[in-house]
Amino acid sequence: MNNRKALRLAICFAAALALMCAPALAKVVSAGTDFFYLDNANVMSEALEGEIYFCNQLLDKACGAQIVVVTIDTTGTEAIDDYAYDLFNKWRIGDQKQQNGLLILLAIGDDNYYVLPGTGLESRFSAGYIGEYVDEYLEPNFASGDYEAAVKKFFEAVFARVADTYDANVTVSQGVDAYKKFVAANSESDSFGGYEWTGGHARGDESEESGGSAMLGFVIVLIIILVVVMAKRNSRRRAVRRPIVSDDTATMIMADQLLRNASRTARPPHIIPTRTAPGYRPFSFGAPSTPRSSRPTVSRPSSGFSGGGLFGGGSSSSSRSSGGSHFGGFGGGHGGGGGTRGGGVGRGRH
Amino acid sequence: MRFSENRKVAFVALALCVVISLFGFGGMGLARERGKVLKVYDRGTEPDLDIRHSMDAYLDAAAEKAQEMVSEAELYIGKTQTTQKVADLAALVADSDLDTRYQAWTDLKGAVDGLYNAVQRATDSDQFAQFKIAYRDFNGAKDKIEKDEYHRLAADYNGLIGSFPGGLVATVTGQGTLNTFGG
Repeated sequence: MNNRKALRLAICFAAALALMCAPALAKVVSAGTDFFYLDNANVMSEALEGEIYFCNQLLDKACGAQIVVVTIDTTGTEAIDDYAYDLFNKWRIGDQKQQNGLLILLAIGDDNYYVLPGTGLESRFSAGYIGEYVDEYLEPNFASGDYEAAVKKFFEAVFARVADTYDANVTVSQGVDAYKKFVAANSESDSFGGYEWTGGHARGDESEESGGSAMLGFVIVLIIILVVVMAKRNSRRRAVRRPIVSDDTATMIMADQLLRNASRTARPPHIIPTRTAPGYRPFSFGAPSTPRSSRPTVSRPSSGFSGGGLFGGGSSSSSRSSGGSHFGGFGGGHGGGGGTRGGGVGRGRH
Repeated sequence: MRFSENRKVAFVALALCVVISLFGFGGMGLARERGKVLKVYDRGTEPDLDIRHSMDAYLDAAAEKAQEMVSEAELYIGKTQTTQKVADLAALVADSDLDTRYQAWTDLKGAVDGLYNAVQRATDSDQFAQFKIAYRDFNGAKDKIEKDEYHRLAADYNGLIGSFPGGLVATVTGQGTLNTFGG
């Protein structure tokens, strides 16, 4: 009866927990294989992705700044500025000390975008000036539906501005050259010019909801198991009352236990201590429990980290290539520990 | 009668304990909590950063940008009731106590939008670039104000004094709620 009650309680608690956690599990996307871009809306060509990736490699190396481009279909019920804020801080864009990241987020299905600077960059490249760049380089092409051109022009413009801000001696053309070298080194064709790209794009995990649900499901199952185990242990403890036994009975029990143990492997026999004081009770008739060695922990990369791809190390639990990106990534990357406190620029007058 | 059995002495001791508990532990504890929140309001959660990132800093920045907007707007529409209102509210946001700032900030947000609409109606969008920069910077500061950690801490403090026994101690010691600036 108590088992059933405990189980019912556990189920109710788990259901309540699920309901409470559901809003909290509305998540932003995780970083893709190559950290600096994520094209879930499938609007960027591989050449543009390569340009973004290799330009960022140079910029990151020079001054720690990172300009991340993310395209998604929709932010759902969440406002785009909140979504961008959560994503930026989850991915930890930019250098930790300088806080010089920049996020370019395009929600294609929502016909909206948001550009968010890191805390340190914002003081040098404020929302007002970002807005000017948005008006000149992003909005015209975005409004006409040419998202690839919108991202390319805007990225190149802000890249130049950020490099100039931090006196990083890097240019877009250097990034493009690095990409071309990569392609030439990894291309299956002998000549670069004649090759036709047919692959898809590296995509991050779109199913944040399913990922979050899996975690929640695991938590619920764990709670149920724990409660059932505890309830069973309680009922067993109540059922078994350990009487005081005489020496003869204790000896018989010990012999029986020894016979049982003989059929098992690698278990030492349980030795009942001799009775030394009146009223002594043997504390256990079963085999002693042997301490279990602790399970080795597997270290997982922290949120925002993404390695993998063709040349990078490590792996991200949430990103994968789908549909066959031509190279399967350019070499991985990860956030530098940066953050933002808001203060970005969205579409329209804000 | 022994001293410890004296009823009058016992009552006095009890009253003393209640007072010490209320004003000492309770009141001072609440005051300490309030002080922590106000420290975050003033200096932010990372006071070691080169640039101040706190509610106080953001409000100052917003007020400064609002004043810039007024200066730019007067080039296009002259001195009007709208520009004067924004200027007055910006001055209050820049330099006053928390409660006055809160009220002024609440009014300033609407007033700035009104000023933007007035300038937009009066001019070509290509012409008022500097005004637009200041407006976007103002909105940037507004966004940071709304997302600041101060709001969560202030809400926690308000929750503390909104329930028993914190509410009782707060009433007795005269500590009121802390305003959150739209966060």
